[in-house]
Amino acid sequence: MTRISRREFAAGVAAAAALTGFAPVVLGQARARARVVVVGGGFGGATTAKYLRMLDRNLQVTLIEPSQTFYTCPFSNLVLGGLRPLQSIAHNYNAMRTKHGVNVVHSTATRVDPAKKTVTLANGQTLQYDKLVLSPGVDFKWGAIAGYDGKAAQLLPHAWKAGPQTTLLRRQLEAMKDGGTFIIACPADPFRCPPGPYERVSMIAHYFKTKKPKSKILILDAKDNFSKQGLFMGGWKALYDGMIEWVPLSKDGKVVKVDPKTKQLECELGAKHKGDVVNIVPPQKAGAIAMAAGVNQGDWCPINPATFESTKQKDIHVIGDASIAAPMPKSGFSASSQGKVVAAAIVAMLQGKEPSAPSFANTCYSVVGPDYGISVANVYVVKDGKMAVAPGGGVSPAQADAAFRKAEARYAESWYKANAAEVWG
Amino acid sequence: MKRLLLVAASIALAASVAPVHAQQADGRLLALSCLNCHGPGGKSPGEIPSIAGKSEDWLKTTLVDFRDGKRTGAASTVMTRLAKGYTDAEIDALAKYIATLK
Repeated sequence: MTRISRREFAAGVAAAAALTGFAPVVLGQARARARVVVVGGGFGGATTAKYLRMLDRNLQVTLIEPSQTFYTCPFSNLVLGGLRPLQSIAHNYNAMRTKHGVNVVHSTATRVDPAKKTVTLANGQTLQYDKLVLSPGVDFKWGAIAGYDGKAAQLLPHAWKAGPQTTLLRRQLEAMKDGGTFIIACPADPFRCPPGPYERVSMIAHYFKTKKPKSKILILDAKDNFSKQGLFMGGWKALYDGMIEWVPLSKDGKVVKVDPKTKQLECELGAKHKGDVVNIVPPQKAGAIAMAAGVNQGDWCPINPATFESTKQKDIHVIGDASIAAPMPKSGFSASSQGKVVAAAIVAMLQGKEPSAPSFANTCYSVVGPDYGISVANVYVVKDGKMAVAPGGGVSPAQADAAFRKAEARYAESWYKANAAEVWG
Repeated sequence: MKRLLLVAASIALAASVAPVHAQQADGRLLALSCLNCHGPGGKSPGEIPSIAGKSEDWLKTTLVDFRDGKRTGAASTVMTRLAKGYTDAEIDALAKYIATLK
């Protein structure tokens, strides 16, 4: 079906009238330009908004994002390690407006009416949509660890949404005495950025090694294995031998209670730990708007993996961390890859066409040291209606030489630049 | 008229050798994931090589070599793993589409 804008339609009617000499009668309802509303300006949402416009210039695309500046979680660990300034992971929406013609509204989506197909914003606006894409990322399950809520996070930062929290944790690390202990509490799966806590440990270990070499790192983990585990542990042995201790779930690593004032943590079976700087990565769930729209099932949102359309509400697509897309991890790269597939699927669906067979990818680098990078890379396909890992893929070789690790550290930098340009540029 | 016949003949030919169906590999859609590392339009802003401006033959050979383990070493990093995730038809479609990026 060809779609024409109101203006084109009006011009066409006027031209027809001029040709025939008759005043136009109602020629049927003009089909307005299709409206797509995208909620969330992170990797998933920003990619979707941009690609919707790149694939179909006739679409009206509105992107809802409360922040003027978006700080990426990827590379926020490098800020913590002192390898780069916070400003280097800041992105804005100028290109989204000027280059791609996306209508960016800096507000928070608070309500969705799937029957009326409207989104209500905190600024009072109500937007009509033909297709809605929710890419809200994660919210924290405050209180899941007793004593840990938004207020406690001002003393024991999560730094799992980058920005002021990243700065807060960095300042605490800078203020810590040499010989102090940094504790990080890691959640059970699933959560945003599975290798993230361990890259963070690596980057903080790098900072300690260069500035505070007598300091220690304690990882209290609510699980018994983690992403790229062998590679991280190999890297820690090579670069930070003796500095890092990992306590898994089975050794009473699951933190169940915190006292923000004394920085004391209590584990499931009673072990107590006290740190000089404490970082809690809290258990997570889909962002609030997913719950408000009724597209969640428990903490996350079930989708049809071919189009990422919600299995619970028609014409609402949920992508990124909020969606149930396993075995794809909850990563920025995954969200962006999903955003591209969803943009193409929406363009096809609005034109009454069958979407192409989807193909997704995820490539995540982790920086263990300035010259020591590791990665995980996979292609994903939909098989028998389910998301599946394509053949191949996996993590960096366990026995790679120094040149390989160095190449991956350099590629990580390049990967970040490319992603930033691809998503916000 | 002659031209019309030619067009009609080529359409018939295309239809006979390559039946179009919804699940055919969509080179553009496949290639979009590549750009998150290789940069917008296939032009890399960093040390990862650009893929824009390469010939279809070069792209196809390189992807197949990554997949089959003939191209390894420090610089190949993730590509030896990723290339195994694509079928022959998908590699053809990828190479064909990426070759249009200038």
